[in-house]
Amino acid sequence: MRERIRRICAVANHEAWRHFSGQRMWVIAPLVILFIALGAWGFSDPAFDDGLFNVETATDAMFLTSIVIVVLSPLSVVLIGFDAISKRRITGELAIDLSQPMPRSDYAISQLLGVWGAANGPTQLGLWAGIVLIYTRMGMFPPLGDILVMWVATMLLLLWYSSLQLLASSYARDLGASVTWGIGTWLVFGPFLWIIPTMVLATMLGVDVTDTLSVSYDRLQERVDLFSPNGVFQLMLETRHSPDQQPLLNGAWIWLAGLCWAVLPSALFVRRIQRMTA
Amino acid sequence: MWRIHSNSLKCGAHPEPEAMLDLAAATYRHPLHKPTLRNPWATAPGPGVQGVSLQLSGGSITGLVGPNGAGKSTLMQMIAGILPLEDGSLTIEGSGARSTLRNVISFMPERVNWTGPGRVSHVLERLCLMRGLDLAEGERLLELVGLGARSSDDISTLSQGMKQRLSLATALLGGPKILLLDEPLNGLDPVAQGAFRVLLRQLADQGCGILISSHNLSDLESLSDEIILMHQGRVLADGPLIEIERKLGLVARLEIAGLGEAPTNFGPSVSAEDIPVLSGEDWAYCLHLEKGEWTVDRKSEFQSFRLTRLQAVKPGLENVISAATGLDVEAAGFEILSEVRGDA
Repeated sequence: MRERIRRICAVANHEAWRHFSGQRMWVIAPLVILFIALGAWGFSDPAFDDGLFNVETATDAMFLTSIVIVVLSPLSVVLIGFDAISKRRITGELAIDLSQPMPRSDYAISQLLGVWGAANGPTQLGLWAGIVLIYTRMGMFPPLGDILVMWVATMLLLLWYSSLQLLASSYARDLGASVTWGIGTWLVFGPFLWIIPTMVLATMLGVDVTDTLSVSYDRLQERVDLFSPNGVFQLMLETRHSPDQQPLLNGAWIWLAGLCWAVLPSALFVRRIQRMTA
Repeated sequence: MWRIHSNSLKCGAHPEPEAMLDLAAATYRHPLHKPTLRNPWATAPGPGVQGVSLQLSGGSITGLVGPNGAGKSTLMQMIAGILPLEDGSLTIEGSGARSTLRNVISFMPERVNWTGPGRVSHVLERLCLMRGLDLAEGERLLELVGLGARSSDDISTLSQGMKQRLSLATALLGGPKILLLDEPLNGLDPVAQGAFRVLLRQLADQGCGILISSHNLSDLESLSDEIILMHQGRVLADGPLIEIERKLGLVARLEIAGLGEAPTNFGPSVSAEDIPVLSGEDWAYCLHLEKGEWTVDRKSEFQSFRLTRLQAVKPGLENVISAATGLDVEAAGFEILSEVRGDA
């Protein structure tokens, strides 16, 4: 078992470096790092007030920075991982990979960890740079517990999208289809489109959609958000808010949804690779 | 430059008894999408391989030959564990466990288009990590196939022939007992092809069982100990090529052509068939000598003309397929022509 884990990690590390040293990373990494860091810089400005959010603490600034993360980081996963399987399938390299003695489940996990590892690089750099910038501007760090939740939630978000993108890449017959699946997933779960199924469901259940600040709408929105990786990410962060701003849902449901998002698409991807015929 | 040293090849150099692969009544049919109103994802069994049995023994080179769509690549992928067996069984030295099979069987697919980003050595490093091998093994194999000097170059700078060598290096990782090579000579220049043949023979001499596919009989003739002839997913014939040709009546044929008056009498039991006349010839025949013989005395009968061509005829794949299936030569030739064009 130990040898098996060591081998998975070695291949994953190799894959991550391959993704990380690729030409596209020259574009993705600066954009992700800069936008996250600049987001943190902007949101920690003492004069920042958009009328909706009131930034009083370093945690508030970090929470607002998560909006940049939730938009950019999944997109970076799509751009890094869209050809992880589909390109090898087209070139014939996948046939060689699948004929190796390494169990296919281990191979799938190593591919997943490789894309996840590469995507984590720029996002984590941006996040930690942002935390330092928040300290620079506000003179305080967010509490360690808040940083830990932010860090874990960000890594989970990247893992969820990595498994979804690799699943798409394994099904796609060409690179264009793989990108389309990835971008489509990113768009559907994105902050702008996910509101549509929420509204539709609210209307069907008789919840007043004209009052989005009502408790009944809030409760429904949180439940619908459990079915979106972005929603679960935001709910995880909200568990660190003051009690009057915390989600109405029990935190256990939120973390359980996070676990499901981590396990289900990954398991589907592993199953897909196990059944793949190159 | 290919560097071939007998002590540098690990293939088959195991202390265990020689590998014996036994494929019995193996079937795999590619699923074809047949969407219906009830089930948009419905599939139906399409072309593939049906009921194929073969044995590979250590130290032998077996040629797998057949036209386009014969099922050669499918069969190799089934043995390599990439495609599942719908029916039948695959064992090696009595073991049918997939993990065991993948440890001793290596597969070189047809025309892998290796792409970057990354260096040539990265390809073998990754596969070494997947197999739990020392990374130096990859470097050694790159030297073996003549890519040692290119190991630090970007993969995208390799020519197709070099990519074929890289594919071969990946197939040799871990010292396989059974080596499956799908059209390995495609894209190699004549010098590299010669070196490749020597390398394969050395591997076989050290106990490795090799299955090599080609649509070109002449490629396999000098290389293979035995031939498996496939057509439309089934095995038509197997055994030494000369025996297959003899069984199919494709031996003892002679092409003659000349100037002057065309001969009319070739002797008893010898039939003659018109063949295309080349420039500078007045006539040309193919003599079928299976049941008769053309002796020097008979040659002396040809007084009224001058021979310009006299050569034994080697049957092409189209002749073998035609003889084995009953298709006319043109139809069999068209299938092979389409494969050659597909490869070009």
